[in-house]
Amino acid sequence: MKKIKNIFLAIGSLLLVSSCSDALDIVQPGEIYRADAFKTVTDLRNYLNGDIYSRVNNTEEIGFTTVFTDEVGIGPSNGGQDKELHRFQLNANSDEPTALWSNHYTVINRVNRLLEFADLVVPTTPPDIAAKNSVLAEARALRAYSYIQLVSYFSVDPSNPNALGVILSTTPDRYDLFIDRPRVSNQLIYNLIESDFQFAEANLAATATNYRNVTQKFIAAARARMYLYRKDYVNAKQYATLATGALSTPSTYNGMWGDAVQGECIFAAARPSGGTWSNIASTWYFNVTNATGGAFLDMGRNLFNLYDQFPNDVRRAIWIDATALINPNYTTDINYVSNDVLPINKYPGKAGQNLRNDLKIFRNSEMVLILAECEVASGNLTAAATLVRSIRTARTFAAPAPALPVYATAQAAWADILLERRKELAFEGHRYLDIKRLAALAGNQGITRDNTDDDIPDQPLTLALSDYRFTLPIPQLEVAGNVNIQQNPGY
Amino acid sequence: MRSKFKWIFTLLVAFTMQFSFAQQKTVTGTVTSDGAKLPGATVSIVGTKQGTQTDENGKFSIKAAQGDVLQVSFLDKETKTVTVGAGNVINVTLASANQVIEVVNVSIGYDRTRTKANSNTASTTVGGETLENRPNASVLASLQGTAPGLTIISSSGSPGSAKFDGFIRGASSINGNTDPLIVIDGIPSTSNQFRNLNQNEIESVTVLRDAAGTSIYGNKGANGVILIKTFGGKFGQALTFSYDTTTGFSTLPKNKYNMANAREALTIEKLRGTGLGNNNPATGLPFTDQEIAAYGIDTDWLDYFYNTDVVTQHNLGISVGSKNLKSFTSLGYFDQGGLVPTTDFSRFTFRNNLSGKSNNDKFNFDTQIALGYSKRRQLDQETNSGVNNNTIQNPLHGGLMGLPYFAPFDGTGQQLFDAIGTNFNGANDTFVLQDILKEDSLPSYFSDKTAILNVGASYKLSPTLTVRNRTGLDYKQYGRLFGRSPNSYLAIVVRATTPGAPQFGGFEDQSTFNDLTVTNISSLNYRKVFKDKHDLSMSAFFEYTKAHYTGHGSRQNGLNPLTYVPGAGTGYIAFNPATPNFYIASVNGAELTGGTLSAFGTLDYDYDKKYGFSAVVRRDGTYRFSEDNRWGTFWSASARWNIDQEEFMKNSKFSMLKLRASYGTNGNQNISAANYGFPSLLTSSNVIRETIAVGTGYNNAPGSLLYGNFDNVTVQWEKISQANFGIDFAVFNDKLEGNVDVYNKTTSNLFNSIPNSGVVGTGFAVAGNNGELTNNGIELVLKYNVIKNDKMRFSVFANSSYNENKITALATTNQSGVANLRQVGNILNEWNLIPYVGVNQANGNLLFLDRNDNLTETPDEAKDRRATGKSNLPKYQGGFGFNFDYKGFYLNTLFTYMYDVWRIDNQFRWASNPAFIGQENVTADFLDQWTPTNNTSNVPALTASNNNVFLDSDRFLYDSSFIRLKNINLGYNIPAKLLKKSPFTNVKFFVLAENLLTWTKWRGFDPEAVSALSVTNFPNPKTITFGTSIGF
Repeated sequence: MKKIKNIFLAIGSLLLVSSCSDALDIVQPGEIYRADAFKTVTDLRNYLNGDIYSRVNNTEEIGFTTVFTDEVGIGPSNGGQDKELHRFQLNANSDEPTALWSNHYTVINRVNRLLEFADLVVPTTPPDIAAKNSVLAEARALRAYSYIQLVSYFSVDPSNPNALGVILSTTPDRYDLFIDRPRVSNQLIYNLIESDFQFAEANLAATATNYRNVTQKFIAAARARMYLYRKDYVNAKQYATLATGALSTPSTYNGMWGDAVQGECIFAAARPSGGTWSNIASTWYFNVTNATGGAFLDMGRNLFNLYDQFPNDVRRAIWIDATALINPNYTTDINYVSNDVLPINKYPGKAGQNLRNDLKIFRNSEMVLILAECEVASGNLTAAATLVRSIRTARTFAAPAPALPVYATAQAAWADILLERRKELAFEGHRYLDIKRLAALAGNQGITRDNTDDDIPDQPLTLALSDYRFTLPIPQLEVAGNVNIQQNPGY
Repeated sequence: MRSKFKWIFTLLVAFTMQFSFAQQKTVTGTVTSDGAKLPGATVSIVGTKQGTQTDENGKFSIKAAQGDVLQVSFLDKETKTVTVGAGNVINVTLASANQVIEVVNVSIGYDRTRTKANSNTASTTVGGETLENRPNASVLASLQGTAPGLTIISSSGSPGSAKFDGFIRGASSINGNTDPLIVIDGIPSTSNQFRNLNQNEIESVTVLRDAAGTSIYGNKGANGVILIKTFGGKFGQALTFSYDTTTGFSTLPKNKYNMANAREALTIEKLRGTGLGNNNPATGLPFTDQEIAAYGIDTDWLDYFYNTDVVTQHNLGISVGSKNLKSFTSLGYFDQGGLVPTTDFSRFTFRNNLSGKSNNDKFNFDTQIALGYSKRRQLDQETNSGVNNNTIQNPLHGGLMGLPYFAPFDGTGQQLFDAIGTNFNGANDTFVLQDILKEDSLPSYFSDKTAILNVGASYKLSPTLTVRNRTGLDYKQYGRLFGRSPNSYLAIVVRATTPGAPQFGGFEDQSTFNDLTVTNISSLNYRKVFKDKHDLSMSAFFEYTKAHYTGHGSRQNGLNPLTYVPGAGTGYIAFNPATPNFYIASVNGAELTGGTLSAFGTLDYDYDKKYGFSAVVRRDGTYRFSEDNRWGTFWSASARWNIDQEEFMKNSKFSMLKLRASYGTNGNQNISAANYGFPSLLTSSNVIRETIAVGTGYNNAPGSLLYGNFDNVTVQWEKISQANFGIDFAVFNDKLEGNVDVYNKTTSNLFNSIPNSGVVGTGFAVAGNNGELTNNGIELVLKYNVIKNDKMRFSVFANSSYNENKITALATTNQSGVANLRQVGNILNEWNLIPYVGVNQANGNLLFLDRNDNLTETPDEAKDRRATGKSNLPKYQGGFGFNFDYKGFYLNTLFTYMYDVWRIDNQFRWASNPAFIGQENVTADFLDQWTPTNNTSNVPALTASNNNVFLDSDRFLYDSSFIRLKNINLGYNIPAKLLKKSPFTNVKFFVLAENLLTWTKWRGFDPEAVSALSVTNFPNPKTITFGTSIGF
C-alpha cells in the first residue's frame, strides 16, 4: 500500500510541475509575424499583390449605379432583388454605400500598413531601392484612386474644395475604440491625392506597363478623372491627353469585353478564371448572361432604345445578348417583364468562368469624353463634336458612318456628351456621378426610366436633380462606431 | 506557480498528522423497506473491511466509531449512508430503487456529492428514467423543460443534428459562448454536441445553476453546468440484463401559412397580372374563371417531398458486481430515417463502466469507456446557412414555395437540363429541387467516430485524507463527404454553361477532422468530523486541459459518371495541361491547439447538519489571452440553514426546510461562440497576436502575403457574478416538495463586437470587452404526491422560471438603424422595428408609424425604428406534467413551455411577398387583398407601391411562445408474480410520443428555434414510438 501512496504522490507532483507552460503558451502552427514576413522588396510586392491589388475594384460603384439610375429594369427572374434601391429607397442602412465605403477604406488601410511594413525593409543596392519605391508608388497610386472614388460619392460637391469630404487616414489606424474620426474638407483629401500621384509618377519603374497593374497611364487617367470632377479642365485635359490612346476597332472591342485582348483598356482589375473572385455579372444574373440565365435585372428599356437606333453600332450588337426577347409592343404587353427581356451582355464571362470578367476601370473612350468636356468648357464646341464623333465612328462596324454632330449651344454639347457617356460607359459605374455633374448643364436630363423598368407600373421614374440622394449617405455602420461623424444632408 | 502548490501541499500534509482514532462502540438498528423489515441487507463501514448483514427481523449490530459512515444496501433497493453519531441506535429505511424518482445524493461536481439536505447549491437532478427510450438522437433534446432555468432550444429536427442552444438563467454574454458546460462522469467536455451519447446509459443529469455550484468550474462554468452521470452497476449484484427496443414514426408538423392551392395560385397571379395565371399558354390570355375552375393539376409539394420516417432503437444493458468489482456494459443502436429524402442517422454505441475497490476500501478506481460510431446524411442547408432561403437547394424552403399548379417533373438530370436549361423561373426551381433530393444526387454524408476514455482512482492515505486523480481522453473523428454527382442536374448545368464546356462535370469534397481533448484532474481531499458535530472538508485541485484539432480535406473537380460512386474515388478525372481551367483538384489542412490550467481549493463545513458553509477559490489560466490578462481568479461562498433540524421545528409538518444563500464569480474566456459541433476552446485561437497570412493574391498570384490577425491584446476574461437565495422544502411526509430560487447575475467585461470606424479596416467592428449585462430571475420547482399507496401513485410536478435581462452598461454607439438593439437600458437583442399599422384604406398601401407617431407610407429605415421590449430570448419557460401509476399501468407526461419570445417569421414574409407571385407559391391570404371595394382588408393591395415586405418593420414579428406536450409515455409493467415462472424479472410495454401537441400563435412548422430571423429550419418532428423493455 505504501508503494501506491508513493506512486500517487509522485505522479501528482510531476503533473503539477511539468504541464503549466504547455497548456498556456500555445502558438498555432504556421503563424508568422511582420518581422518574419517582411525582409525583402519581394515580400513587399507580395503584400501589394495579396492585400491591396486584390481589393481594388469598382463592383459596388457598378452595382449601385446600375440599379439606382436608368440602366436596368426588373428582369424575369426577379424575386425582389434590388427592388428597394431601384425604387429610390436609399438610406444609411443601404448595403451599397456601406460596401463602397468599406472597400475603399480597406484598400487605404492596407496601403497605410504597407507603408509601415516598408520600414522593415532597408534595401542597399540602387536597383533594390528603386524596386521598393516602385512598390510604394503603385500602392500610393491605388490609395489615391480610392480617395477619388470616396470623395466623388460621399461629398456633396466634389468640385468645391471647402465642402466636407471624407475621413483622412494616412497611418494604419490601430483599432483604438471610441475615438472621433471626423470628415475633413475636400481640399485636404485632394492634397493627399496629389502628393500620392506625384510620388507615384516619380518613382514608378519604367517596366511597369502591364495594364492590369499601376502604370503611368493609370496615374494620368486617374488624375484626369479627378480634375474633371473638380472642374479643373486645364489639368483634366493635360492628363487625359497623356492617358489616352487609340480607340479599339469593333472586333478588338468585342474581344476586350471577353478579356481576350487589352484593347483600349488603360487599367483593368484582373478577375481571373479560378479562385474565389467576385463575379461582376452577378450584379444582374443568377447563372448565365442570357435571357434564361436567371436575369433578375435586364437592360433598361430607354437605354436599349438608344442602342437600337443604330443597328450597325457594335454596342447594340454585343451588349444585348442574342437570346433577347424583344417585344416591339412592350408598352402594351401586360406581361412585359417576361415577354420583353433585354439581357445585359457587357460582361459575357470568360473561359472556365461564367459571369466573371476583368473590371475595366479606365478606358481610352472615357479619356476622349473627358477631353470633349474640356473643349466645351473652353468654348470649342466643334472640337468637342469631333471627339464625340470619334467614339461613334470607332463603334460603327458598317456604313453609314456617323455624322459630325452640330452643337448650337454649350448646353447641347453637354447634353450630347452626357448621352454618349450614358451609352459608352453604361454598366461601368459612371451614370450616377455623370447625372450629378452634368444634368444641370445639359438642361436637366436626369434619370430617364421607362415605365416598364419596374414590374409594378407607375412607380416614380425619375428623381429631381436637387434631391439629397445624389450624394450617398455615410453608412450607419460607420456612424455606429464613429458617433460624431457628420452625416450628409437629408439622411 | 510552483511554490504556491508546494505550500498547499504542506498545509494538507500537516492536516493528516492531526488525526486520531475515536473510540469504538456497538451500534444496532433495524433496516426496513416499504414498511416491512428487510432481512439480508448489507451494513458496512465505509472505508473498512467491517460489515454485517441484517437478520430475519431486519436487525443488525456492528462495531463502529463515532464519525464512521455506515453504508446500508440491499439488491435493487436504494443504497443509503448514515454517519454514526452520539447515539447507539440507527434505523434505516431503504426505498425501492424504482421508487427513487430523484437521486438522493446530489452531485456538486468534481467527484463530490452531498445529500440533498447538506447541499448549498441551487441544482436540479433529473433521473435517467426521464430520458430513457426517448426517440431523440441528442440527449439535450430530452432535457427541455425538465429543470428550471434551463433553456434548451433545438433549432433543427434533422436526424442527428448538432443545433442545440442551451442557456442556464438567460444568455450571459453578447458575443461569447453561452452554452452551459457539460460534464460527463467528472470530465468537463469542450464539445457542444452529443449525438454519440446514448441516453439509455444515463443514470442522472444534474443542472447546477448558482455560483455555489458553478464557481468550482471557474473558467468553464460561467453559463451553468450540466453534470451527466452514467450507470455504474453495483457491488455484490447478480448478473442482470436489460433489453429495450422501440420503433417510432415521425411526421412533419403542420403550418398555418395558408399556402395557395393550384386554383388559388392561378387566381392570385391573374390578379397580380403575372405568371401562368396571367398568361394561359393555350389562349395567350389570362386564365378565365372557368379555366381556373377546370384546372386539373394540384400538387402538394410538402406532401411530395416529406415522408413519414421511422426511428428504431435497441439497447442492451448488462450489470454485474462482485465484492470488489462492479461493471455496467451497454450496447445501443439507434436508427432514424429522416422526414426529408436524403437525410438519416444511425448510431452504434458501446459503453463499459467498471469500478473496483480494495478490500479495505482504501483504494478505489473506475474506468469508463464509451465508443460510438454514427453516420448520417443531412441537407447541405444544415451546415450551409447560405442556402437557407434558396428554393433550389433547400427543400425545407422550396417545398413550401413550390408552385402547386405544376406536376412533378419525371426524368433524369440530363432530361431536366434539356427541358429547362438554366431557367429557374416559375416551377423550374422546384424541379431542380426534385433532382437534388434524388438519392446521391448531392451526396452529403457525415460520420462521427468517438471514443471517451475516463479513468479515475483514489486512495485513502488515512481515514481523513484522500488523494484522487481523474484523466479523461475525449477523441472524436468527423468525416464528411459532400459532392455533386456528375449525373445531377446541377453538375450538368454547370458543366454545360461553363465557357469552354468541359467534358466532365461534378465535384466531390472529402474531409476528416480529429478532435482530441485531454483532461487531467488531481486532487487531495481532507475530511474529518470533530466532536460529532463539526464536519470539515477541504480539497485542493489541479486541472489541466488541452485540446488538439487537426483536419484535412480535398476537392476533386470533374467526375466520370460511368464509375462515380460517392467516396470511392472512382471516376476522378485527372488534370490535363491542355485544359488548364478544368479538373483542378485542391487540398487543405488545419491544425489548432488550445489549453487551460487551473488550480483551486474548496472548503466545506457543516455544523450538526444544521448549518453549512462552503467556499471555493479558483485560479484559471487560458492560452487565449495575453500574458497580462491570462489569469483570472474566481470564487464563491455559500451557506445554508437546515431549519427543520432546529428544536422548535420538531413537531412541524416539514421534513425539510432549508435556506440557502450564495454569491460568487465565474469567468468566460470563449470570446466568440463556437459553431455547432466545434470545440469552444479552439475559437479565436490567436487573437492576441498580429499575424501575416499567406495566400493567393491578385490575378491568382501564388505566395502572396495578406494581413492576418490584428493584435487584440486587450481582450480579457468576461466575468460573471451571481447572487442566489433559495429555499428547499418538503412537507406532509414528503408529499409536497419543492424549491424556490431568486438570483441576480451580472456579466461584466462583456464580450462584444464593438462598433468601430470602417477606416480601421476591420469591417466596422472589433471584438473586445465592453459593457455589463444583468439577468435577474426567479425559479420554482414543485412536486406533489397526490396519491401514494401500494396500488396507485399519482404525482404532479412543475418547474417554472422567469428571467429578465438588461444591458446596464455599454459604450455609446449609434443604434438607430439596427434591428436587434444592444444598448444600455434595453434587453439583449431587443427588436428595434418600425411599427406596422395596417393597410391604408384609401389606396391599399402599407401604413407605418414614423418617429413622431404620424402615419407614413415611406418610413425611414434608420430613424423611424423604435424599441419594442421584445426579443428572441424567452422570458418565461419551464415544464410540468404528471406521473400516474396504477397496478402496473403508468402514464407520464411532460409539457414544456416558453413564453414571451418574439421572432420574425421570415418564411411567412416570403410567402407574403407579392414580388414572388408567378415565381413561387404564396399565401392564399392574398385573395383577400385590399381593393377599393374591399377596403377594410388587412392584406395590402398586390400592387401596393411600398409592398416590398422589408424586414425593418414589425409586420412579421410574431409571438413564438408555445406550450408543447413534449413527451407522453403510456406503459404497462407485467406484474412480478405473473413472471415468476418465466426467465424474466420484468417486462414492460409502452407507447411514447414526442412533440405530440403544440399550442402556439406561430404560423410556421415549429415555434422552437433560437434564430431571431427564422428562415426555414428543419422542424422538430412529431414522433410516436412503441417499445418493449425486458429484464432478465
